[in-house]
Amino acid sequence: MKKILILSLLIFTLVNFVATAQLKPGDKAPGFKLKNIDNSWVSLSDYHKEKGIILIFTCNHCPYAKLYESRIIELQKEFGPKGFPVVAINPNDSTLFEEDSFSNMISNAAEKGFNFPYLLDDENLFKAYGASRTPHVFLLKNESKYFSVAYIGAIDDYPQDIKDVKVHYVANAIESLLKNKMPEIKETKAIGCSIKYKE
Amino acid sequence: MYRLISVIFIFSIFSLCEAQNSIIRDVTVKDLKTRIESPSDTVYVVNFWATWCQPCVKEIPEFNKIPNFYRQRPVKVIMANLDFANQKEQRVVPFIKDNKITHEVIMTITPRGGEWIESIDKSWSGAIPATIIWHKGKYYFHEGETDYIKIKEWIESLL
Repeated sequence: MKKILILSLLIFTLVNFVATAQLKPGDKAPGFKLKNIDNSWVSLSDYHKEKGIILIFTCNHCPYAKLYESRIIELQKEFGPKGFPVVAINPNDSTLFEEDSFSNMISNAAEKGFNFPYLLDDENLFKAYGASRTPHVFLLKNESKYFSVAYIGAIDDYPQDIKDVKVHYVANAIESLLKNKMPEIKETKAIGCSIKYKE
Repeated sequence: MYRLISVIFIFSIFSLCEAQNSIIRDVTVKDLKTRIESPSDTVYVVNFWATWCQPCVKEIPEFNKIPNFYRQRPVKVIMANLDFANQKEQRVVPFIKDNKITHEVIMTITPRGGEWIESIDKSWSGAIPATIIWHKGKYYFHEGETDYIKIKEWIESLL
Protein backbone atom coordinates (compact mmCIF):
# COMPACT_ATOMS: atom_id res chain seq x y z
CA MET A 1 0.00 0.00 0.00
CA LYS A 2 2.78 2.35 1.02
CA LYS A 3 4.68 1.54 -2.15
CA ILE A 4 1.66 2.34 -4.28
CA LEU A 5 1.23 5.61 -2.45
CA ILE A 6 4.86 6.60 -2.96
CA LEU A 7 4.73 5.52 -6.60
CA SER A 8 1.58 7.48 -7.31
CA LEU A 9 3.06 10.49 -5.55
CA LEU A 10 6.16 10.17 -7.71
CA ILE A 11 4.12 9.90 -10.90
CA PHE A 12 2.02 12.84 -9.82
CA THR A 13 5.09 15.00 -9.24
CA LEU A 14 6.60 13.88 -12.52
CA VAL A 15 3.42 14.63 -14.48
CA ASN A 16 3.17 17.99 -12.79
CA PHE A 17 6.79 18.71 -13.60
CA VAL A 18 6.36 17.72 -17.24
CA ALA A 19 3.22 19.80 -17.52
CA THR A 20 4.81 23.01 -16.30
CA ALA A 21 8.46 22.72 -17.37
CA GLN A 22 9.50 24.98 -20.21
CA LEU A 23 11.29 23.42 -23.16
CA LYS A 24 15.00 24.14 -23.27
CA PRO A 25 17.00 25.25 -26.29
CA GLY A 26 17.98 22.09 -28.18
CA ASP A 27 14.79 20.21 -27.23
CA LYS A 28 12.55 18.64 -29.85
CA ALA A 29 9.53 20.84 -30.57
CA PRO A 30 6.15 19.18 -29.89
CA GLY A 31 3.95 18.85 -32.98
CA PHE A 32 0.52 20.42 -33.33
CA LYS A 33 -2.51 20.68 -35.56
CA LEU A 34 -4.60 23.74 -34.74
CA LYS A 35 -7.34 25.75 -36.37
CA ASN A 36 -6.34 28.92 -38.17
CA ILE A 37 -8.49 32.07 -38.38
CA ASP A 38 -9.31 31.20 -42.03
CA ASN A 39 -10.78 27.91 -40.75
CA SER A 40 -7.96 25.84 -42.25
CA TRP A 41 -5.90 23.46 -40.13
CA VAL A 42 -2.24 24.24 -39.62
CA SER A 43 0.23 21.68 -38.37
CA LEU A 44 3.94 21.79 -37.63
CA SER A 45 4.64 19.20 -40.34
CA ASP A 46 3.18 21.59 -42.98
CA TYR A 47 6.44 23.53 -42.60
CA HIS A 48 8.85 20.70 -43.43
CA LYS A 49 10.22 22.64 -46.42
CA GLU A 50 11.06 25.73 -44.35
CA LYS A 51 14.33 26.32 -42.49
CA GLY A 52 12.43 26.99 -39.33
CA ILE A 53 9.45 28.73 -37.73
CA ILE A 54 9.01 31.75 -35.50
CA LEU A 55 6.37 30.29 -33.20
CA ILE A 56 4.81 32.95 -31.00
CA PHE A 57 2.27 32.45 -28.21
CA THR A 58 0.37 35.71 -28.22
CA CYS A 59 -3.17 37.05 -27.86
CA ASN A 60 -5.47 39.99 -28.51
CA HIS A 61 -6.04 41.51 -25.08
CA CYS A 62 -2.57 41.76 -23.53
CA PRO A 63 -0.98 45.24 -23.81
CA TYR A 64 2.46 43.68 -24.25
CA ALA A 65 1.13 41.49 -27.08
CA LYS A 66 -0.40 44.61 -28.66
CA LEU A 67 2.93 46.43 -28.45
CA TYR A 68 4.50 43.65 -30.51
CA GLU A 69 1.83 43.15 -33.21
CA SER A 70 3.48 45.44 -35.76
CA ARG A 71 6.90 43.97 -34.94
CA ILE A 72 5.58 40.44 -35.59
CA ILE A 73 4.22 41.60 -38.97
CA GLU A 74 7.71 42.95 -39.76
CA LEU A 75 9.34 39.67 -38.70
CA GLN A 76 7.12 37.81 -41.17
CA LYS A 77 7.95 40.34 -43.94
CA GLU A 78 11.66 40.03 -43.34
CA PHE A 79 12.14 36.39 -42.43
CA GLY A 80 9.17 34.61 -44.06
CA PRO A 81 10.84 34.77 -47.51
CA LYS A 82 14.15 33.66 -45.95
CA GLY A 83 12.63 30.41 -44.69
CA PHE A 84 11.51 31.44 -41.21
CA PRO A 85 7.77 32.21 -41.35
CA VAL A 86 5.77 33.35 -38.32
CA VAL A 87 3.11 31.14 -36.74
CA ALA A 88 1.13 32.86 -33.98
CA ILE A 89 -0.88 30.88 -31.45
CA ASN A 90 -3.43 32.25 -28.99
CA PRO A 91 -3.39 30.07 -25.86
CA ASN A 92 -5.93 31.99 -23.79
CA ASP A 93 -9.26 30.54 -22.73
CA SER A 94 -11.89 32.87 -24.21
CA THR A 95 -14.39 31.99 -21.46
CA LEU A 96 -11.95 33.85 -19.18
CA PHE A 97 -11.11 36.60 -21.68
CA GLU A 98 -13.80 37.33 -24.26
CA GLU A 99 -11.38 39.57 -26.17
CA ASP A 100 -9.32 36.46 -27.00
CA SER A 101 -12.18 34.50 -28.60
CA PHE A 102 -11.85 32.96 -32.07
CA SER A 103 -14.12 35.60 -33.66
CA ASN A 104 -12.12 38.37 -32.02
CA MET A 105 -8.90 36.76 -33.28
CA ILE A 106 -10.33 36.98 -36.81
CA SER A 107 -11.32 40.64 -36.43
CA ASN A 108 -8.05 41.63 -34.71
CA ALA A 109 -5.98 39.96 -37.43
CA ALA A 110 -8.01 41.70 -40.15
CA GLU A 111 -7.79 45.07 -38.43
CA LYS A 112 -4.02 44.87 -37.88
CA GLY A 113 -3.27 43.16 -41.19
CA PHE A 114 -1.67 39.97 -39.84
CA ASN A 115 0.38 38.39 -42.62
CA PHE A 116 0.80 35.06 -40.80
CA PRO A 117 -1.44 32.24 -39.50
CA TYR A 118 -3.07 32.97 -36.16
CA LEU A 119 -4.07 29.68 -34.52
CA LEU A 120 -6.38 28.91 -31.66
CA ASP A 121 -4.77 26.70 -29.02
CA ASP A 122 -7.76 24.83 -27.62
CA GLU A 123 -5.62 21.79 -26.72
CA ASN A 124 -3.28 23.40 -24.18
CA LEU A 125 -0.34 23.16 -26.56
CA PHE A 126 1.27 26.01 -24.59
CA LYS A 127 1.76 23.55 -21.72
CA ALA A 128 3.74 21.16 -23.94
CA TYR A 129 6.03 24.06 -24.84
CA GLY A 130 6.00 25.47 -21.32
CA ALA A 131 4.93 28.88 -22.55
CA SER A 132 3.79 31.00 -19.63
CA ARG A 133 3.15 34.47 -20.93
CA THR A 134 2.15 36.46 -23.99
CA PRO A 135 4.07 37.19 -26.09
CA HIS A 136 6.43 34.20 -25.72
CA VAL A 137 8.59 33.19 -28.70
CA PHE A 138 9.89 29.72 -29.53
CA LEU A 139 12.20 29.90 -32.55
CA LEU A 140 12.21 26.46 -34.18
CA LYS A 141 14.90 25.04 -36.44
CA ASN A 142 14.19 22.39 -39.05
CA GLU A 143 16.36 19.34 -38.37
CA SER A 144 14.85 17.55 -41.41
CA LYS A 145 13.11 14.84 -39.35
CA TYR A 146 11.82 17.13 -36.65
CA PHE A 147 12.02 20.71 -35.38
CA SER A 148 14.28 21.68 -32.50
CA VAL A 149 14.07 24.76 -30.28
CA ALA A 150 16.84 27.24 -31.10
CA TYR A 151 15.77 30.24 -29.03
CA ILE A 152 13.13 30.96 -26.37
CA GLY A 153 12.00 34.30 -25.01
CA ALA A 154 11.34 37.87 -26.05
CA ILE A 155 11.36 39.41 -29.54
CA ASP A 156 13.68 42.22 -28.48
CA ASP A 157 14.95 44.03 -25.39
CA TYR A 158 12.58 47.04 -25.32
CA PRO A 159 8.81 46.42 -25.41
CA GLN A 160 7.75 50.01 -24.88
CA ASP A 161 9.08 51.53 -28.09
CA ILE A 162 10.59 49.88 -31.14
CA LYS A 163 12.70 52.99 -31.75
CA ASP A 164 14.66 52.35 -28.57
CA VAL A 165 15.36 48.67 -29.16
CA LYS A 166 19.05 47.86 -28.89
CA VAL A 167 19.07 44.06 -29.23
CA HIS A 168 16.76 42.23 -31.65
CA TYR A 169 16.91 38.78 -30.04
CA VAL A 170 14.76 36.86 -32.56
CA ALA A 171 16.22 38.56 -35.65
CA ASN A 172 19.78 37.97 -34.38
CA ALA A 173 19.02 34.32 -33.61
CA ILE A 174 17.66 33.78 -37.15
CA GLU A 175 20.68 35.53 -38.70
CA SER A 176 22.90 33.08 -36.80
CA LEU A 177 20.85 30.08 -37.99
CA LEU A 178 21.02 31.34 -41.58
CA LYS A 179 24.82 31.26 -41.22
CA ASN A 180 24.59 27.70 -39.86
CA LYS A 181 25.55 28.87 -36.39
CA MET A 182 23.65 28.48 -33.14
CA PRO A 183 22.24 31.74 -31.67
CA GLU A 184 24.55 33.46 -29.21
CA ILE A 185 21.65 34.28 -26.90
CA LYS A 186 19.45 31.20 -26.60
CA GLU A 187 17.06 32.32 -23.90
CA THR A 188 15.70 35.61 -22.56
CA LYS A 189 12.97 36.64 -20.16
CA ALA A 190 10.52 39.51 -20.31
CA ILE A 191 7.51 40.87 -18.47
CA GLY A 192 4.24 39.78 -20.03
CA CYS A 193 0.66 38.76 -19.36
CA SER A 194 0.15 35.36 -17.81
CA ILE A 195 -1.59 32.81 -20.03
CA LYS A 196 -5.25 32.59 -18.99
CA TYR A 197 -6.50 29.05 -18.56
CA LYS A 198 -8.61 27.00 -16.19
CA GLU A 199 -6.60 24.74 -13.87
CA MET B 1 -15.15 78.51 16.47
CA TYR B 2 -13.19 75.74 18.12
CA ARG B 3 -15.29 73.25 16.30
CA LEU B 4 -14.57 74.93 13.00
CA ILE B 5 -10.83 74.94 13.66
CA SER B 6 -10.85 71.28 14.60
CA VAL B 7 -12.88 70.41 11.50
CA ILE B 8 -10.36 72.29 9.34
CA PHE B 9 -7.55 70.60 11.25
CA ILE B 10 -8.97 67.12 10.72
CA PHE B 11 -9.72 67.92 7.10
CA SER B 12 -6.17 69.08 6.46
CA ILE B 13 -4.76 65.93 8.06
CA PHE B 14 -6.93 63.88 5.73
CA SER B 15 -5.79 65.78 2.68
CA LEU B 16 -2.18 65.48 3.83
CA CYS B 17 -2.59 61.72 4.09
CA GLU B 18 -4.12 61.64 0.66
CA ALA B 19 -1.29 63.72 -0.76
CA GLN B 20 1.23 61.33 0.72
CA ASN B 21 -0.61 58.36 -0.70
CA SER B 22 -0.31 59.69 -4.20
CA ILE B 23 3.48 60.02 -3.93
CA ILE B 24 4.90 56.98 -5.63
CA ARG B 25 8.63 56.60 -5.38
CA ASP B 26 10.73 55.35 -8.28
CA VAL B 27 12.79 52.42 -7.01
CA THR B 28 15.31 50.41 -9.01
CA VAL B 29 15.17 46.63 -8.86
CA LYS B 30 18.61 46.72 -7.24
CA ASP B 31 17.47 49.06 -4.46
CA LEU B 32 14.30 47.04 -3.93
CA LYS B 33 16.36 43.88 -3.53
CA THR B 34 18.78 45.58 -1.15
CA ARG B 35 15.86 46.78 0.94
CA ILE B 36 14.09 43.43 1.29
CA GLU B 37 17.23 41.34 1.61
CA SER B 38 18.91 43.45 4.30
CA PRO B 39 18.98 41.83 7.76
CA SER B 40 15.93 42.80 9.83
CA ASP B 41 13.05 41.18 11.65
CA THR B 42 10.58 42.54 9.09
CA VAL B 43 8.72 40.18 6.79
CA TYR B 44 8.73 41.70 3.29
CA VAL B 45 5.91 40.88 0.88
CA VAL B 46 6.53 42.22 -2.63
CA ASN B 47 3.81 41.97 -5.25
CA PHE B 48 4.74 42.69 -8.88
CA TRP B 49 1.72 44.15 -10.63
CA ALA B 50 0.60 46.59 -13.34
CA THR B 51 -2.55 48.58 -14.00
CA TRP B 52 -2.98 46.75 -17.35
CA CYS B 53 -2.81 43.31 -15.71
CA GLN B 54 -6.35 42.24 -14.85
CA PRO B 55 -5.50 39.33 -12.52
CA CYS B 56 -3.11 41.68 -10.68
CA VAL B 57 -5.81 44.30 -10.19
CA LYS B 58 -8.27 41.62 -9.08
CA GLU B 59 -6.00 40.41 -6.29
CA ILE B 60 -5.11 43.85 -4.83
CA PRO B 61 -7.85 43.50 -2.13
CA GLU B 62 -6.14 40.27 -0.97
CA PHE B 63 -2.91 42.20 -0.39
CA ASN B 64 -4.86 44.98 1.33
CA LYS B 65 -5.87 42.40 3.96
CA ILE B 66 -2.26 41.79 5.06
CA PRO B 67 -1.77 43.38 8.48
CA ASN B 68 1.29 45.44 9.45
CA PHE B 69 2.13 42.95 12.16
CA TYR B 70 1.94 39.18 12.03
CA ARG B 71 2.75 37.06 15.09
CA GLN B 72 4.64 39.99 16.66
CA ARG B 73 6.74 40.57 13.58
CA PRO B 74 6.49 43.70 11.46
CA VAL B 75 5.19 43.02 7.96
CA LYS B 76 5.97 45.39 5.10
CA VAL B 77 3.97 44.99 1.92
CA ILE B 78 5.41 46.65 -1.20
CA MET B 79 3.20 46.85 -4.28
CA ALA B 80 5.88 46.99 -6.99
CA ASN B 81 4.27 48.46 -10.10
CA LEU B 82 5.54 47.45 -13.55
CA ASP B 83 3.74 49.94 -15.79
CA PHE B 84 6.22 51.81 -18.01
CA ALA B 85 8.07 54.52 -16.03
CA ASN B 86 6.78 57.32 -18.28
CA GLN B 87 3.15 56.27 -17.65
CA LYS B 88 3.33 57.03 -13.94
CA GLU B 89 1.36 60.30 -13.99
CA GLN B 90 -0.94 59.25 -16.79
CA ARG B 91 -1.89 55.75 -15.56
CA VAL B 92 -0.54 54.78 -12.15
CA VAL B 93 -1.34 57.92 -10.16
CA PRO B 94 -5.00 58.06 -11.37
CA PHE B 95 -5.35 54.32 -10.76
CA ILE B 96 -4.24 54.73 -7.17
CA LYS B 97 -6.72 57.55 -6.69
CA ASP B 98 -9.57 55.38 -7.96
CA ASN B 99 -8.59 52.08 -6.34
CA LYS B 100 -7.86 51.42 -2.72
CA ILE B 101 -4.32 50.18 -2.14
CA THR B 102 -3.51 50.26 1.55
CA HIS B 103 0.19 49.42 1.26
CA GLU B 104 3.17 51.27 -0.18
CA VAL B 105 3.22 51.50 -3.98
CA ILE B 106 6.50 51.93 -5.84
CA MET B 107 7.34 52.34 -9.53
CA THR B 108 9.77 49.55 -10.27
CA ILE B 109 12.56 50.91 -12.44
CA THR B 110 13.75 47.94 -14.43
CA PRO B 111 16.94 47.68 -16.46
CA ARG B 112 16.77 46.93 -20.20
CA GLY B 113 16.30 43.28 -21.17
CA GLY B 114 15.02 40.59 -18.83
CA GLU B 115 18.01 39.57 -16.73
CA TRP B 116 16.63 41.35 -13.68
CA ILE B 117 13.62 38.97 -13.73
CA GLU B 118 15.96 36.08 -13.03
CA SER B 119 17.60 38.07 -10.23
CA ILE B 120 14.28 38.02 -8.33
CA ASP B 121 13.89 34.27 -8.78
CA LYS B 122 15.28 31.83 -11.36
CA SER B 123 11.87 30.22 -11.87
CA TRP B 124 10.08 33.48 -12.75
CA SER B 125 9.17 33.58 -16.45
CA GLY B 126 8.23 37.27 -16.32
CA ALA B 127 4.47 36.75 -16.30
CA ILE B 128 2.61 38.84 -13.72
CA PRO B 129 1.21 38.81 -11.11
CA ALA B 130 4.17 37.47 -9.15
CA THR B 131 4.87 37.64 -5.43
CA ILE B 132 8.00 37.22 -3.34
CA ILE B 133 8.16 37.03 0.45
CA TRP B 134 11.46 37.63 2.24
CA HIS B 135 12.26 37.03 5.86
CA LYS B 136 15.71 36.76 7.42
CA GLY B 137 17.56 35.38 4.40
CA LYS B 138 14.80 32.95 3.41
CA TYR B 139 12.26 33.60 0.70
CA TYR B 140 9.24 32.18 -1.05
CA PHE B 141 8.44 33.03 -4.68
CA HIS B 142 5.16 32.51 -6.53
CA GLU B 143 4.27 33.25 -10.16
CA GLY B 144 0.54 33.64 -10.71
CA GLU B 145 -2.50 34.73 -8.79
CA THR B 146 -2.83 34.33 -5.06
CA ASP B 147 -5.03 35.18 -2.09
CA TYR B 148 -4.64 36.24 1.53
CA ILE B 149 -4.86 32.69 2.89
CA LYS B 150 -1.99 31.50 0.69
CA ILE B 151 0.12 34.57 1.48
CA LYS B 152 -0.41 33.89 5.18
CA GLU B 153 0.73 30.27 4.70
CA TRP B 154 3.86 31.42 2.86
CA ILE B 155 4.69 33.94 5.59
CA GLU B 156 4.12 31.18 8.16
CA SER B 157 6.52 28.86 6.28
CA LEU B 158 9.31 31.43 6.62
CA LEU B 159 8.91 32.18 10.34
